[in-house]
Amino acid sequence: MIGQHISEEDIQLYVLDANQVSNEVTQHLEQCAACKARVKEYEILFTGIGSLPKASFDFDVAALVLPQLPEKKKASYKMAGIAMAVIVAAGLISLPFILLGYKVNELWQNISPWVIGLISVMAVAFVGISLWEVYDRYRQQLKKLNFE
Amino acid sequence: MSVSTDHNNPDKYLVDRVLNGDKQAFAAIIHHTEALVAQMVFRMVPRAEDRKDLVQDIYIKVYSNLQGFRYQARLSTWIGQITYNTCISYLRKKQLLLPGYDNESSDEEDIVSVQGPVAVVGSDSQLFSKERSVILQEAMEKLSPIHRTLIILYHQEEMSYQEISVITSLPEGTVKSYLFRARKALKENLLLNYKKEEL
Repeated sequence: MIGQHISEEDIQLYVLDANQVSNEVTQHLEQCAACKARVKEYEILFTGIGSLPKASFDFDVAALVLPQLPEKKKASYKMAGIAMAVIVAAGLISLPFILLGYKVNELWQNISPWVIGLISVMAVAFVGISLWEVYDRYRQQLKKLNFE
Repeated sequence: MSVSTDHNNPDKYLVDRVLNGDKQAFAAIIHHTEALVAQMVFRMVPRAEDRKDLVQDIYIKVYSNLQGFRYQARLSTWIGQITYNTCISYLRKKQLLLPGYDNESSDEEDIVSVQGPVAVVGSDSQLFSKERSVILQEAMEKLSPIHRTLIILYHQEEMSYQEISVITSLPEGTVKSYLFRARKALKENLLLNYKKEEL
């Protein structure tokens, strides 16, 4: 049995779930009137909190909120928009190749590998920065909405 | 129009219907969650006239962001999280949030706005013998908004530490620690008030 009185933490733990405390704590509680009284205080407190009237709104929340809801665009429209954007982008990129054909091919053959490498690195960097900006804007919107 | 929730996953059923433009399904979501939202808003927002605007704000956020809900928690927990964050923003804006509550640790003095010396423990039968609900309500009012909310979520809404942790974005250990100190402060305030009343 523990000689000293039980800590406040163990008293709370015991009241919440007696199985969570050690046997020493339980044994002490069986024999210590002061600690038993502290247990009782918490039992009464927790019962009291449980029996407090629950808060509720004195107005119809649905009737208040529903007329304020913004109109949603259906997901299918969004997907169609994205698909259209991808097709247009692909078309724009491939347009010079279609129009100029072999000339573009020759052009690529005349450019040194260093220049191609440089252009590739710049393109990757540009795409990376753009994606980061989009992500950053998304994070800021989340922050505004308090989700972060 | 009534919305049936007799489905394997009522959350998903309702969310899918809302995303397909069924506003009555959103009304059902409101009906299912407004009790929790009320419990939190009433404990965190002292001004009655601000509560209406906040509730509206909360549910518009829920509606606007429903597409991003990933079912990692229950829908009610997610709405609880939005409610908590919206109320915290409100408290910050109104400068009603005590310093230290943004962080994981806070001083013992911050738990209650008024804290006196600890009274001598009375007998249990005496503690809540008269107008105990009123005395307890008053003691609850002395707790900070966050501690009050944690107490209500745990003891009235019977949420687990993990659920409260999701709602508040506080680590589970911090939730336990806040709750421990809030219960202790509540008990001490109760005993103090009780003694004052007796005198």
